[in-house]
Amino acid sequence: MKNWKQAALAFELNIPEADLETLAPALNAIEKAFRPLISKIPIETDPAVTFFAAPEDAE
Amino acid sequence: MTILEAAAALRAGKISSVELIGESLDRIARMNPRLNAFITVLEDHARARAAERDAELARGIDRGPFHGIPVAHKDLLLTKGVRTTAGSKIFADYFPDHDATVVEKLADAGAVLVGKLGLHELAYGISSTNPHYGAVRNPWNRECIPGGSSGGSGVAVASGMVPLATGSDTGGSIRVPASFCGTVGLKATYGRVSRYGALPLAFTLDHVGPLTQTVRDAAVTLNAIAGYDPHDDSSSRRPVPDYVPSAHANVRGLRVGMPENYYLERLDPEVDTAVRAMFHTAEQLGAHVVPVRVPDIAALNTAAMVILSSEASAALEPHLAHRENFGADVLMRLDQGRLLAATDYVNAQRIRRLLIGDFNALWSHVDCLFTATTPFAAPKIGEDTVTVHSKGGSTVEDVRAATTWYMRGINALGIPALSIPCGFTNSGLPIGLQIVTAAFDEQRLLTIGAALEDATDFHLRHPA
Repeated sequence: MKNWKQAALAFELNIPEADLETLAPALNAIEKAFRPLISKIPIETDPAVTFFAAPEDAE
Repeated sequence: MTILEAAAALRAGKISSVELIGESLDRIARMNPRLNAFITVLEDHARARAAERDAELARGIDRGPFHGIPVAHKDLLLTKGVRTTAGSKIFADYFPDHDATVVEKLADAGAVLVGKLGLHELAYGISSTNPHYGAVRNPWNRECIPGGSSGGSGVAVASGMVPLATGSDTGGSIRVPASFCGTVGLKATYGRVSRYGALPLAFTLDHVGPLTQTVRDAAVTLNAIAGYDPHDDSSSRRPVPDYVPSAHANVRGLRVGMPENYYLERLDPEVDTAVRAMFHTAEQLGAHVVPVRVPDIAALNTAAMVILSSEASAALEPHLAHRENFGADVLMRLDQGRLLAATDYVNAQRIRRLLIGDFNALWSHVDCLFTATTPFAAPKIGEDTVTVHSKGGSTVEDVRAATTWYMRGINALGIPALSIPCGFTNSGLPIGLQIVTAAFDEQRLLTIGAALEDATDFHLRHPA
């Protein structure tokens, strides 16, 4: 699992160590469920966030 | 009294708007001290607006079914000149200079604002146990949560304080309180109802919608609030049809999907019985129940959680320098989102795209899906875990995660979902049925809901 304390330090997030320990299990659970899904995404798949260059294209 | 009943009584001269608003304010004064549904009550404002609506009707000006009807808004919908807290200390003194589009549309339709409703802090949770404004309590059992994040909305409608409350739904926040409080809750297709003026939690998952006593009330509300809004980039330009089902809502020949996987696997036995009974009711009404395998909902929920965490933390990042302004649970979720990588967010949106495609294919086999809204009835206030009993045995689950199992993914798909009452536990707590259809198929969704409602009497029961 990721070292969340190091990650928080690297991003200068200023999250107290005790809080990091509390949220680590939730983050580890997301990692465990999410990481295996990424390898299954076909390379050509766009994200579901759509950018409209012109407002009239938004439907 | 429902919206449509009150509208008919007004036009028949049996009641005035001043009397309707007076009754609403009386109930709020009597019940709110015990239930804490309202953060702000606008007594003088409401009485004055009601008198104006009565005067308009006397002059022959009729704004339609909401003319003179009491409404309360979730306190994250901006209301011009009226404090909008989002259930947060950060916005404790925020008086917006404009209305949310939904607020404006309902006001233009003649609805009378009686107050602003309590919610989970920043709409980021399902209990509505708010560290700054107190716990909102379930009217069926005050020791239980009403659900959230639109907890005040569920309570205000279930207890008859107002016939219409607005809510917002990012991972179930309209449908959870509808299920736990025994009301109807509608989350329409993403883009059908403007999000403008709703303080954002997650930009690509947020929906605004109604909680009401009946399906037809939800439908008539959708008539009023749906439609294109140039202030909301995600707003759809599709025309708005009449969503109100006929008096004889018909589901004959409709294909009702019964999920073979995920949705009916982990349910409290009383919820399981109540939900399965609704398949039987649909069959008796002439629908065909079709067993279907649904796409990977666990993957969808995981992607939705990554998207929610990332977007919520982005939206609220400017406020995180003052950690003391947040409750512990919300602060933890916001910290969580800041530790996710940008690549994780993009990949979650790619997984979402794939699963939207998988789900679209489902609609060639069935017209709708029935699921439980929540796997259990309302937990007690303060409980962090809940034991979920299922055929495979009992498991102890995080309350927030388990409550949203059957809803969170629906927000990622953006498709419409309706929660209606479908039974009660032996201890007297309501149980909700979730009905889901394809995108922009709200007419069918509401017709199915109305047909089931007409065939049952769960919506007629009210808390003592």
